[in-house]
Amino acid sequence: MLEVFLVSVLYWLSLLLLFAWLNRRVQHLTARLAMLEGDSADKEE
Amino acid sequence: MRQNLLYAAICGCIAASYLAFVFAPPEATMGELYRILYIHLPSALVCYLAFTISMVSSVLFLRRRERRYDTLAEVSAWLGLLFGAVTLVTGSIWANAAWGTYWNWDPRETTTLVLWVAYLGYVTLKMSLENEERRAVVGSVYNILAFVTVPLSYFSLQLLPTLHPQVVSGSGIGLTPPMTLALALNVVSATVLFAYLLGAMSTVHDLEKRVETLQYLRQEGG
Repeated sequence: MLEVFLVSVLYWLSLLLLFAWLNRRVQHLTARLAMLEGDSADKEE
Repeated sequence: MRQNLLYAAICGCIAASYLAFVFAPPEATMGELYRILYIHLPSALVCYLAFTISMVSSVLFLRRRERRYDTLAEVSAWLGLLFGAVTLVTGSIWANAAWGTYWNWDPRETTTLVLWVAYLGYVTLKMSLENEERRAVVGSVYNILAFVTVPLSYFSLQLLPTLHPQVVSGSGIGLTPPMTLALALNVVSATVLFAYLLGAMSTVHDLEKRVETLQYLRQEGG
């Protein structure tokens, strides 16, 4: 039963980490994209 | 839409875990350890689904040459590898409890490992090629060839002599209605979770490409 419990904890933990990583990555990339697009718009003006 | 999918996945996973670890009774021969089935079987089914989506996306990419299909193929393959790894680990724990060893080269174990290694080859191949167009085309062709391992793994129970229990036909493990209900909910919630992850990872992939393109244009412009 200990093995089942450990595997369940690892399973949920890895999915939680994947969620957290995806959220952080989306936030970081969205901010970076906004910055780059802002720079491009400034240059065009 | 994606936010709703996330809430559905979280609620589904909590309910599925409750049914799997509290509601469902212990099994007659395997006792409490059979509960690993509630992670193992949904992961295996989602793994097959992910590689099927990956293969179909590669076929669509080769026909239409639209980059979104190549992205979907790659992201789906990564998720297939993740769920495949869970399947292999939980299967080994089951094997140790049922057969006394973590790995005994049973046809089901072996064909699933071959499947996993074949798709590890796919993502490695894609990472190793520099040219984007070449990477997409070569990767798609390899992906279609690697897909042969999916039916090989799935039908290994029927085609080869194996010790692996057949849950669907009921041989090897007897599932009562509460167990079947718990299993069904676990399969559904794992599929919803996969759908959410597929969408979120595709978004990350697209954003990375847009940032790369803008950075390149910025460097080119001085």
